[in-house]
Amino acid sequence: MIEFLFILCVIPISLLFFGIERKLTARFHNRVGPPIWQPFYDIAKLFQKGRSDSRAQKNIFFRLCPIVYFLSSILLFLFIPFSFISFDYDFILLIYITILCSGLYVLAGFSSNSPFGILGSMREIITMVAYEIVFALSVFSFMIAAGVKSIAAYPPGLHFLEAPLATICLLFVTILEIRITPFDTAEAETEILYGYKTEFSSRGLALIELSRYMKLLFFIFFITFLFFGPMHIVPFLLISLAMLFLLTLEKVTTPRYRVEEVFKFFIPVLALALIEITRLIIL
Amino acid sequence: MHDFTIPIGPQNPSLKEPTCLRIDLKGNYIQSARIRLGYIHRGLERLLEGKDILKALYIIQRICGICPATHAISYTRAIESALKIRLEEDVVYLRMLEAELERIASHLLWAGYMSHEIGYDMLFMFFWRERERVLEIFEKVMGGRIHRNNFKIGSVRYGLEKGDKRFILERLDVIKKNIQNYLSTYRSDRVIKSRLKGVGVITKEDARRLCVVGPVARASGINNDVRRTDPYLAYDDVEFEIPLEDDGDALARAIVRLREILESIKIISQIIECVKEDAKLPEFKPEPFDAETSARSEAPRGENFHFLKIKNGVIERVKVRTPTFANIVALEHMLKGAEIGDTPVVVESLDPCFACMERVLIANRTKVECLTKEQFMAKYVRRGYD
Repeated sequence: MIEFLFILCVIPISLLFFGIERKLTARFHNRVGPPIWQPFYDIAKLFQKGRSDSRAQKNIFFRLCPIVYFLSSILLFLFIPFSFISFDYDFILLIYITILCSGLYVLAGFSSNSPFGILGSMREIITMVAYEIVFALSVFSFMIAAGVKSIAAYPPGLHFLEAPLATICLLFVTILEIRITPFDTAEAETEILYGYKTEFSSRGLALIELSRYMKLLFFIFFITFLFFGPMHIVPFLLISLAMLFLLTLEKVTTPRYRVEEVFKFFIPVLALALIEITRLIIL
Repeated sequence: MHDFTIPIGPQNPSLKEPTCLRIDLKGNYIQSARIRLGYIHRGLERLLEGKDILKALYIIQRICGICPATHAISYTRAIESALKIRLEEDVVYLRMLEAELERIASHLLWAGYMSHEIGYDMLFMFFWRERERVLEIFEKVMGGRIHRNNFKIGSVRYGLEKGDKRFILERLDVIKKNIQNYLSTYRSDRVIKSRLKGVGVITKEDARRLCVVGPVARASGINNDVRRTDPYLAYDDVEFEIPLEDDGDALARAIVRLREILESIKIISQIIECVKEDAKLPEFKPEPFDAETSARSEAPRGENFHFLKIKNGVIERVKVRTPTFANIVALEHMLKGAEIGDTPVVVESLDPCFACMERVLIANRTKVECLTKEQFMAKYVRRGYD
């Protein structure tokens, strides 16, 4: 029962998590910051706004991208933290859905008919090449270490001790996926405005923002789940909040990398992931 | 051939003032850049014409929101040299105090912006917290945080009251300690270095050719500071060092500016010993006079030059050459070949102040045409518009 309630609550929880992140960032900056329910106001306001007069509105992909992106972000929560669907090797489907999210992200930029959107998508493709393979390898490592074929069968326990290198890799991938500094090159606001979402407005922008918050929530849940295994919802949320705190701390203490620096950074990370999976397969 | 052209500005999060950069991109790299000015022209020189020199002083102190004291120093220096006024010691030191505090505030403001451009918002907030301390000093001593209106011809308006010296020194001690910390961060942090090192390079030869001034020139190894080359007020008597770097990139400019903050604190700690608290400041009323005079001073951004033509105590013509006017020439040169992501860093590393600088009208000489009144009316004036 509580599982079904949870999937209904995913959107408010993700908004709340983003609000907490904003508040934490502000406190680290020594500012007062917005109230934690500020994202609710923002999204409600965006839904009331009229559509912009952008020429990109003629493009069917431009109009469809936010909706599909939003739906695929919700799909992610069918696996984590409670498994609604489960079959053998279902984590491969999960990896595919995250890649689909990234692909829609790129498509949104290219279809927006704006040089800033195109630049953002170009940067995203470069970083995708670097991190998607690391992400897949780390998830495989955790599954092999736990000796299970499905997310539903994932046992409780301190899994981050069993696959320490994969833990490090997955943390880096998480930072990149939720797009916080130092790896937020694809939507660097001072360099290329906001990249892919420059041209979006009103409901389209609201859906894209919602997807972004849900992705933040999903990746925090995902690493908590993989590191500590399944548990009751209350300790799970508490550990997730601790993870959010750690990620925010990381965000405020680093400047932004350049695109090629991100790529260079992920080559040793890929090596770590390969070493880990080789170790787990051989031993 | 370039792939596409993107406009940076007039509204862009990386620009603090409206201006427009049109950038031709080849892949991820800039092939050429053109700057378009004129979005924030305020007609200041025209506004000053026909004003009494005392009234004009108020407008002069509103040319720039970041460095009003340096404009006032250039202006008063020009008039005082024409009238041959000898300043009292207290006045000299109080003017220097304001100018140096302003330099600290300006460089801290810039350092904050620069940190924001590379995505380091925490350092941005921390730099502005230090700036807040300087503004508190301004507020306590002169009443205003940004526009102080402290200058008079031959005098200043606000002296130090009892307890002000301690207040200033306490705050400067905190700033000094923190700036040393941030300077070591800028020198050692790997990511900051990767963002700033080798970006927007101006070599020593280019710096001479493009006639850049201020910290931009000093970061390229040119020892050019009006406080040394043409000393005014009491800069001859105080001990300070001119920070120099040889690399000529954005990192060198950042380090030069942060080191200048420390030097300014050194200057203030020397001069504050010589100022008397609760001193009586002189009053001076200039008689109407004719003069053609000029003066310069070192603003936080570089050499600030004022030319004045005065007739019967009224200004006939003013020419203000702000440091950004000299530096902006280098921008297109610096952007050529840079990566698109480095654009905000390159623009910000010059510390441009467009609102102070925009007063240029470039006439397109190829389109000059001579028309009679009838021809002009027929060509340009709509029918029924008399």
